[in-house]
Amino acid sequence: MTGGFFSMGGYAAFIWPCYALTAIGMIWLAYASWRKAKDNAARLDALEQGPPVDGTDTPDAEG
Amino acid sequence: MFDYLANPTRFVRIADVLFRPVAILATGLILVGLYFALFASPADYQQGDTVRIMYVHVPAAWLAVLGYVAMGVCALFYIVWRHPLADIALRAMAPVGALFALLTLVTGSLWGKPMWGAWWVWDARLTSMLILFFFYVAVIALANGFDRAERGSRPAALLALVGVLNVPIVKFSVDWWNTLHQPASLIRSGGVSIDPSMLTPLLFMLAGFHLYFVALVILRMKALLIERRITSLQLRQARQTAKPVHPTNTGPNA
Amino acid sequence: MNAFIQQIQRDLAIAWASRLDIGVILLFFVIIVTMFPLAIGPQPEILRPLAVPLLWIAAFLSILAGFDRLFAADLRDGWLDQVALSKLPLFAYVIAKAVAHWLVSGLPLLLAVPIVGLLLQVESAVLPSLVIALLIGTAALTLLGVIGASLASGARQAGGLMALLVLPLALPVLIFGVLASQPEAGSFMSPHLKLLAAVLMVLLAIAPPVAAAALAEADDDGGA
Repeated sequence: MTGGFFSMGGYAAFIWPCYALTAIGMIWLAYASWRKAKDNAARLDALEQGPPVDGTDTPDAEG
Repeated sequence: MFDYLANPTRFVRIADVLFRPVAILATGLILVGLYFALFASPADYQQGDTVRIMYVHVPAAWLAVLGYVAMGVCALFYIVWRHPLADIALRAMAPVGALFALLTLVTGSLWGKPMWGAWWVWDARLTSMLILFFFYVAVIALANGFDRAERGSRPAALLALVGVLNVPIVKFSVDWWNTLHQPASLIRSGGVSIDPSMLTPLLFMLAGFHLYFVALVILRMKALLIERRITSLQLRQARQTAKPVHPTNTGPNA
Repeated sequence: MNAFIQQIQRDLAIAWASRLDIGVILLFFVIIVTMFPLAIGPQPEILRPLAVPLLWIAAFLSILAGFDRLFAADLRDGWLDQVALSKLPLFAYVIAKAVAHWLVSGLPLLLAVPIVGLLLQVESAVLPSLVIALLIGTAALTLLGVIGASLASGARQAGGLMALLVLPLALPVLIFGVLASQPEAGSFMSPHLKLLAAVLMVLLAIAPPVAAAALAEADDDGGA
């Protein structure tokens, strides 16, 4: 990688932030979305194995 | 096909199968596109290396508009045909499209400074994109603006429909405004004659961004569907473990 | 048709009962207009070319301020349920609300423009086309407010949300409206005015069904 590549014909200050910000934005959204899906899946698993339903004759409040 | 996908559990299964290949393909296409964009393509005769910004700016702009149209289609499915997953799809698409709109503005600004000498110019395309960004934010805010999470689906869908109808009006009015206020425009709105060697990186990035959009929408839809399931499970468990009725427990919430 | 007229009369009567509120809108209009010279400076040469656009912006913001009361009361006190049970179709109710709201908010602004315009050194030659363009523009904005208010009913931050919904949609109205207010050819029938009228037609077509659908949902959910 020569110095010429990084300086991008003198426009480095515009081109690199451009690509950097795009990458940051897209990667951040992808990570956040993946994180949310993972957290939700974990919460669902916890709920589905969750506190055992009371099997005794507790009257159902909703009727 | 849409009927087949309407079942949430089936959709989640399909999403799980599809996501990884789509994501990998998207990443591959973008990486190849980056190689071409930054290494294996020439600088422009007039614009020099700044033309490389086009390889992210144009795909982002395209996806921003396409995303909003897709949202409008989802809104139509939700309002008219009451498709059970349409509002989830709409909610999933909105942030991704909004990100692309924002990136279009940022990259457009970074492209504009060396080209036209100013960080922001009110040219027709950037102005339209700014307004589109406002439209996106409005849909997101409305969808999430209610205490009961699902209450926002219908208003957001209606707004997306109104927005889709208005996008051509906005575009037309901004073009109209722009030509009237800048009769002898020195600003060429990003008109770059595309050399074949520039088409390659552009197409790769475009394809990669498309698949990125699809992958992220699948991912976000899955997260939203799980969230819905969690809410309904929590409600069911609350009912099953509810205490016996007291006078103060009954009646609608205050 | 009778029920339609009655709905308008009802709203006008309610507005008349608190007619000071109309004064509030007018005062708001004047205050916003006053802010501009204070921010820009008093020189007539600077203000005069800006007069028409600033009046438009001030008019928009003034009307915007009244939108959150468009449906809130009717949702809260159950009037909307009455309407749903009556012979008046919901979209007709929406149009009636829009008409009444415009009569109470838009019309006073229109009448005040020649006087308030003086504050910004507006040229009297421009007044006829300005008023006609504002007539259509405020009507369009009222319809947008109907859309915004109905969609945001029951939301946590309904007021701010409504502004977020309405203002981007209002930008074409602003663009065409300002251009239509200052036609080059002298006669007010410019292409800009026709475009403005076209936008109004589109809004007339989409606002009632959209608002009706949104209000039905808001009503089901238990009101504002």
